[in-house]
Amino acid sequence: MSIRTTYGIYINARIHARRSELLTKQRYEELLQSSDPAGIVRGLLGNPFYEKDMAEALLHGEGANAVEEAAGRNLDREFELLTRIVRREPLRAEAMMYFLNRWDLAAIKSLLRRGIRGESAGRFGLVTGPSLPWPVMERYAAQTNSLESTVLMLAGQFPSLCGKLPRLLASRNEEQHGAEAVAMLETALDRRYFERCGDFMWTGPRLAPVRAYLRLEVDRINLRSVLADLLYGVRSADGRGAWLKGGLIEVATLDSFAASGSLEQAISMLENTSYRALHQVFSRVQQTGQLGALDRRFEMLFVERLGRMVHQDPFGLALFMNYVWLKWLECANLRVLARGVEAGLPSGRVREELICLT
Amino acid sequence: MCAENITPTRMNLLSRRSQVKLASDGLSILRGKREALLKDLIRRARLLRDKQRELQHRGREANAALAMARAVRGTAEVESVTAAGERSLAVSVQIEKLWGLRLGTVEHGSVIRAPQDRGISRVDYSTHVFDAAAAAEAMVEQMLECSPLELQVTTLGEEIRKLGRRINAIEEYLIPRLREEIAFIKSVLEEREREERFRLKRVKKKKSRAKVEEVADVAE
Repeated sequence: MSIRTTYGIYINARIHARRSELLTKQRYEELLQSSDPAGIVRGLLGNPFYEKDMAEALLHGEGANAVEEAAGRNLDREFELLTRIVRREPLRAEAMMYFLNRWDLAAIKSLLRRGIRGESAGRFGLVTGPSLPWPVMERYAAQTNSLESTVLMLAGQFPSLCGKLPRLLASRNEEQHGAEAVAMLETALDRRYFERCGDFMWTGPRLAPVRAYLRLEVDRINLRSVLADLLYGVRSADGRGAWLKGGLIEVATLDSFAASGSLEQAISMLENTSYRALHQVFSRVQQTGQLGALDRRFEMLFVERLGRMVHQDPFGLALFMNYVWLKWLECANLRVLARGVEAGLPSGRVREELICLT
Repeated sequence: MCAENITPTRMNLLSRRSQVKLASDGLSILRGKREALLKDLIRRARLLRDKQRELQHRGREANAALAMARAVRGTAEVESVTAAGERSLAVSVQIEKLWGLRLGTVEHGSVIRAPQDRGISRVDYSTHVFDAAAAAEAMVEQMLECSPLELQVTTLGEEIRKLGRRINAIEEYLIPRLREEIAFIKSVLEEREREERFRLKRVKKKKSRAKVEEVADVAE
């Protein structure tokens, strides 16, 4: 159900306009022709949306690092703008912010991991998110010097996501210290986010796009777990795993996937689910032993499904979600181009990783 | 040592002859050892070549996977996951003995970790980062296979070079010198024998001349 308030229409118009400015497939192809990252830098300096970020990034570095910094700066600014817009949208603000929190998870986790190293870590490995831009991250990093203090700070700042972490950290057993404790906290954080979404997404028809998107996310996580476990042969023989609930694939089906014991059988069982179109991706995972293709295919699927929803309801949440994913993918695509060219990868390999849906 | 400085006695001649025999026996043993070590070296070098080829392949894979992980997830996230996944790797060094040589071998468990052992969330993680980590671990595993082999090949090569020098020294210097000395002693001994014979002949001649003169005196 769409909301046709004046502000809602204004948001939609702005997002439509921004979406039309995203880099096109043709532009990526032009950038891919560069023999070194400097060509991509030149290309971005000539783009009005990246010109300023690229110029600022060139003050700190060059080549692929500069491209990465410019793309990151651009994404941070976009997140900042979206957060500002979203907060003024009374009816959908909660859902939109919850959706944006998806990108905050990585930033929160980077703070937790930094907690193992303490003060010596500096800016090492800090990731930003829509609610956690650079200044905030730096302030939080300066305020915390251990895992305990990081968890307490996060619980105060993100009570809905991290509220239970201090208690969980206190109840850990003696064997769980350092990285193991962080792994436990991260797992709890992810579960909290996705399982809370699981409850949240069933309420109200207005949130249909969020529901549909999160179902895909849950399926991605569950299928990835199945594949990873089969690839590394780690789960118990009965195959019963701690799957996330709320996806399109039933828990019983996931259990039978895991119990099948081999990738071939799991792939053949996939035919009976709504993901039979991913058959090729699964086969590729089987051939290469690498899971990367699965994530990229699902990201493509998110954008495609959300794009379809935009056609069904142009004033719904899907437009916002679709745009956020497209913008994130644009940032990733620029990094793929720069890093791929820098590492001297064949253009076919780089092209495989690009997701061009505009 | 110059041959002229040797006392040319029969005793020395016998001693030199036994030394030549000993050196020849030693030479054949050293040649046998060199042969065996060479065979082993070639076998290990072939193995190393295959493993290094695989290492290069895995290195390229790891490089590409790391570039893609940095690209898709960003360098900061890769660094963050790296910090969480730090660990020390337990390896044990064993010593293998070959013709008196001590060759080290490294024994290790599987270096490639399962997703749940990487010290990060088991629910939502980046597969690209995991692929990069797995590729890097596969490379490290191959390096652990290659490095002792490389050291073994170097040690064997060094030993074979040393043996070559020893064989050359025995073959080109020691045995010819001993033979030269034997020849010298032999020639001196023969000379002495000839002198002795000549001296005895002269004595005999002198004695017979004295006898003839004595007979002539008696006749007069």
